[in-house]
Amino acid sequence: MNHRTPYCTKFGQYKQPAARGRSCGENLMYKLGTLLVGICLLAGMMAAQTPANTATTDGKEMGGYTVEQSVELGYRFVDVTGNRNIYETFLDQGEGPRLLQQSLSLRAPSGTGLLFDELSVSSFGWGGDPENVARARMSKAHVYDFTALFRRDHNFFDYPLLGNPLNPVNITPSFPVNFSTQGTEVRRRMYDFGLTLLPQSKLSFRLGYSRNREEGPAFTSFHEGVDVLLNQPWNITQNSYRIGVDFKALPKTTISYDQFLTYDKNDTDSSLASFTTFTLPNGKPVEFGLPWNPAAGAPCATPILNGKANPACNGYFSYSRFQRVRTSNPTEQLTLTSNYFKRVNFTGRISYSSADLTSPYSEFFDGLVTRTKERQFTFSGPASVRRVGATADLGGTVDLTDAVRVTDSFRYDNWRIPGSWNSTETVTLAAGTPVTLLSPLGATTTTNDFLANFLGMKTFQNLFQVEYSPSKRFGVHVGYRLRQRHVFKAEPEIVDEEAGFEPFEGDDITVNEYGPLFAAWLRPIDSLRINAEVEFTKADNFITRVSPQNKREYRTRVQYKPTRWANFSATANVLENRNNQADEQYRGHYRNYGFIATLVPRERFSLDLSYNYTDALQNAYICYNGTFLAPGTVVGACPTFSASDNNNPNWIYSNYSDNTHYFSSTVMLKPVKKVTANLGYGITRADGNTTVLNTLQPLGTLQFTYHQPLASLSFEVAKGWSLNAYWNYDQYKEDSFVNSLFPRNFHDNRTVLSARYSF
Amino acid sequence: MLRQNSVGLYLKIALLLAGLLLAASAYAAGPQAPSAPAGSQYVGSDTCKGCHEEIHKGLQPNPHFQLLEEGKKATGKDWHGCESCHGPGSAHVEGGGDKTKIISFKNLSAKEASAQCLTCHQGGHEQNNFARSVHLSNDVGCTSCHSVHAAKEKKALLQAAQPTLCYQCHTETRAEFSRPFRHRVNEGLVKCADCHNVHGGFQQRQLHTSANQDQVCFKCHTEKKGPFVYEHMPVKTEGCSSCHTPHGSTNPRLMRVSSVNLLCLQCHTLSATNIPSQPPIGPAHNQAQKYQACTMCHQSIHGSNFSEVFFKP
Repeated sequence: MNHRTPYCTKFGQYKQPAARGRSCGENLMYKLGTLLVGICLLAGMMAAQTPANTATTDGKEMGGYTVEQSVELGYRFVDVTGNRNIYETFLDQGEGPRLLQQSLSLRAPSGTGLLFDELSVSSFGWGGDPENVARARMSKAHVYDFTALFRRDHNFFDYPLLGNPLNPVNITPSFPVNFSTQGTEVRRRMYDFGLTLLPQSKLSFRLGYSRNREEGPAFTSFHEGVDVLLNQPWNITQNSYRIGVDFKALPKTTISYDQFLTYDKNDTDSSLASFTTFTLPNGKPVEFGLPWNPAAGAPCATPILNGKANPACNGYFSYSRFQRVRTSNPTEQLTLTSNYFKRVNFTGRISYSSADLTSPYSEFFDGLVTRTKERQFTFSGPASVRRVGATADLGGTVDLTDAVRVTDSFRYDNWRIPGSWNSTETVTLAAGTPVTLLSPLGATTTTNDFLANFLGMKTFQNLFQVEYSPSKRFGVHVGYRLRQRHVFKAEPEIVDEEAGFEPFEGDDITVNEYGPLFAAWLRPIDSLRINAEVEFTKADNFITRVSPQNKREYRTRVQYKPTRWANFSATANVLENRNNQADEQYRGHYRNYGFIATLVPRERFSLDLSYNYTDALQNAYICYNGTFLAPGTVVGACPTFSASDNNNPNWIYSNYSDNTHYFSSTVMLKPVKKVTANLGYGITRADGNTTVLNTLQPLGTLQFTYHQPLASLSFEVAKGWSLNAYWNYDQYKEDSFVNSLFPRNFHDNRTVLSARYSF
Repeated sequence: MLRQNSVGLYLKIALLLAGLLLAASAYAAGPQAPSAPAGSQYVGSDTCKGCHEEIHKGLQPNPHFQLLEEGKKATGKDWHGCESCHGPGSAHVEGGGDKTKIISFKNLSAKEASAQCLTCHQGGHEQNNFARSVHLSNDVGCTSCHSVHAAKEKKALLQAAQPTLCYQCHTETRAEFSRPFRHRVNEGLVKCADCHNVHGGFQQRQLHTSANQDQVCFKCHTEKKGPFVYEHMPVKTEGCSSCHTPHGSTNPRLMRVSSVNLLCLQCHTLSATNIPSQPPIGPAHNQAQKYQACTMCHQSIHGSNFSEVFFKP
């Protein structure tokens, strides 16, 4: 099925020879994972065929184990109308056969298993679903506990309004960009393995390994003269190892030591991708890049002359860059947990980590930058960065009486990141005049700079609380939260090799945040709990303009569970942020109100209802350069600006607001014993507004409606066997201005027919 | 009023509080966890089974069944099967099943019930801050989420699987994860507990940290972790959530606002009261003609090793 637009075809250029772009190592891991699940499935099926000694409602007895298994195989049909790339960005489910779900569990309840007392494997999404997860656990009481987790996700992103140059269409020729210049089709595979030896002994050991692999085609853009599209296939790997030991030194007291070793590799390179490629008068192809707005000088005032590319324009013949980032990051951690003294609980943890990053670099440009007359340039030279961090966490709780307890949590965090780049730049200018893409190469100059930079932050924070709960019906706690952050940000500097390294100059920022919190809970009857919490925070400084100096949080929750089969919950969360500096007037809020009702009165009927309303806002004064004046603009009114940087110092109180309603409902019916039906409907409706600085800018997701009805039918054809049908419909429609781009609307039908076997 | 450079003050406050805690602990006395009536003796799980057979049977697929088996073997003074949690049962038996003469979790407060669970589970790395957790402070104890006798989710004996269980209280989160741009929680790829330590921790929102105590986001988004020669300061000082809404958003890339340029300009506007660390003041380029998204040029906005202005990785 050809469901990719030309944009996706470009992605397709990066398909690797190995299956689905997996490297050989990844293939091996993937195959091992598949093999593991396969073996477990086989074991389960064999167990299923073995005459059971004692049949129970929960699994079968076999060899001292209680065995339970389920497996569901099916086929998904997908029919998408509209913008397929948006469908894939949101849902990404394709058509084809699937192993929808699988589980296997072997238990030896009495702890008599030879190698294990418990083994469980469960997974879903095999066969090409965008989310694919497998979990396994094997344990033997007192001896070991092993867990394994594999997760794979296919992350397709092509929402075309990020990084879009919004090229005008009322010109000839026109080149609208109907894809995301920062689109990705990245596959992330995460593996997590953990083994605990002698888990209940005085001395126990923990081993762990995690791997995170990200790879796949992606786009990015690069600016030099003009903005061009780059192919940037991701190639990122992280391997993490951990070893830990727990020593139960005293009753209810554990001392733990952990050593973490994390290694990162980033081999993501970039090269020029084609978007507006023309031929010069001499027949040589040249790339003019993404922005196509000759009236605004992009790529130049007259890019086409006599049917050929104008050689006086900015343009690229080729561009590439290469990096091999390697980071090693060991971390040591010591933890003490104690409940040794009656009514006193203590946890302390200190950790130290030191990350070292190194990377060679190579960058090559061939083309023309008219502003600087550069015809070619290269950058090279290694970067070297450290991150040194020390953390101490201390937490204590004392139950003064049965009703009163005091708690304190303290955290100290201190990290610093010194970095340097030993840069070598060669620049070759165009020879002769006029300077054009056809100019021969002229003089070359080489510059070597040792660039250094620094960022560090030291944080102290403390939360002290007193809790009073005289009965199981009522409780209240009051507290005070303090946080001090001291940030040092250097101005990047070029180190004079002869004069030596001088202390960094930069900015010291200290921010003290503090404020009380108050919370209460009420449980008038066992089935009803009401929670309310208020926290006020003030800050005497700020790090960014949208860092609030005044923050208020109100949280209220009500949960009512009159019976085991009914749950009603309602919440109201309000976050108000303010920064009252006269020329900032930052106002932000996130107000959220919702309820959920879940009713399962009997096995044959259930109802789930949910509604939520969110009101988000983020406003602040901004200064912008633009000849299109958004409503409310005060021309030339920026209080402080540099005329060389901003020719149009327009001042406006910028606005972003979003009001989103969400509703969902699902009904389950079991009219007869062997038939189960589900019927549901979900809708998200967003209405928003924002300051628009460009008349061509679509509002995109600020106004949309997203319908998501669903239905399913399950028929039990024999004991343990069921035939299932699932149907999902999605309809996404944006109401706002589309501009020249493809509408980002779609609707789809996803239907799955499956068979499930379980015992 | 707190002033800058008050590190000493904070340390003093912290030491004072620590001292208060220690002093308070000296006066604290008595058992923390609930106890059965004085004089009651252990009778063994088989005695319990005589009346509570269904519960006994239901416990078999449960890790706590081990308590029953080991209670028979009496491998330790704390191994008493059912009575490990419910306390000595002789008074309860002799009273003809008098519920007041045994520890019944239905009658306990969340703190009392949790204290009983923590008798064994306190030492776990995930649970060692539960006494200070937001959940427990708000009357959400172990049995609010876990069910020893009637768990619907075998893993961790949860009353329901994640995220359904969490949504029962956190209704707003369910809506956020249903938005077009979201982390794949409803799809089962990510679980609430991957980012949050529901049992408490030292971070606000009970967030986990990465191994080197950095933000939990970097566990999956490794390419944004750095360190970088040129850090984009707010990423490290304010956190990912200064630009992104982590659960879900109506905006692409989970951004807080819909327009990239607006997001950037709300910080990168130089004003009279602005701190000196936020240049550039804003775009040099005419917003009406081109450069409608800052990230078209500044594409390595999370940090760069080879470009001070984030043009390159």
